[in-house]
Amino acid sequence: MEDCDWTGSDLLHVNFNALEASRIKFSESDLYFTRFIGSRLDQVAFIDCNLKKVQFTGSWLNEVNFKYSNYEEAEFDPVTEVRE
Amino acid sequence: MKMVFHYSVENFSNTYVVGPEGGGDALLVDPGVLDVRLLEAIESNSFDIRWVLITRCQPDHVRGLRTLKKVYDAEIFSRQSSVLGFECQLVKPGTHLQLGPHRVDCLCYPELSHDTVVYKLHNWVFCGDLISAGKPGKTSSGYARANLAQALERRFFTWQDDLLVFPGEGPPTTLRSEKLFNLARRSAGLEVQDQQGPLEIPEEEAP
Repeated sequence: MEDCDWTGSDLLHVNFNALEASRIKFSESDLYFTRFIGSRLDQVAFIDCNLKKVQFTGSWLNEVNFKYSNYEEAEFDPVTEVRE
Repeated sequence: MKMVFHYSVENFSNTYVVGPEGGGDALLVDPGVLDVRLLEAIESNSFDIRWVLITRCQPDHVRGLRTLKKVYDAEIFSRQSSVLGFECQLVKPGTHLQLGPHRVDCLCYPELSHDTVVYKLHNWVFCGDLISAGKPGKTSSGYARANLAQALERRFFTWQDDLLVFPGEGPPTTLRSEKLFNLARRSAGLEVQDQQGPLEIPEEEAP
């Protein structure tokens, strides 16, 4: 998935496992309990999103922006690789 | 055949109702909650809940049973002879149930818990806590985790790829994607080579 823009989207409980995403923007969207397990997220922005209980277990994250987002209880386990 | 899906934010659990298109006798998997929203979904489809299948006798799978039994006269199936005081039909491993027109295969996974049952109906699998999308079921120790991974490998991931998997928690998934990406396989270094190659996305025809 490349160069997509999800604005004001209702994406709760969605299965994005093993997603390969680059330059994706989620803004003002609800991703409650959604899964990104084993994903590669490159230059992905979550702006003002609800990321409560979102699972990034086993994912590779590069230049991911969580500005103004609620990531309470989101899962980033030790396998999750986050690059600043 | 039609399926109604209900997600409870109280328990973070899923309930599924399967019945005929035009309404009639229906089966319900895991009554974790029976709230107004689920009741409306059942009634608006003219379903009459005749059978309740329980994948695990934990509160988040059965909490709605008392309310459900007040509304519907349903027969309950589980790995225990009694749940919340209600008598159940005991499910035996490797058997099948004939529920009206539906043949439901029952598989037990004591590697997760003594009362875990997975129900297979056509190409739908209601797997309860056995796996959720991308992850194996929760276990209490490394030994139990390894044991479960082995059971999944031998008796779950061997099924055909086109099965749709409906877990007790989290979004639905497919058996094919679990074979490829589930962390149970990744941690054991058992990712399979995808026999079918990459998913082919048909090109859109020009208008």
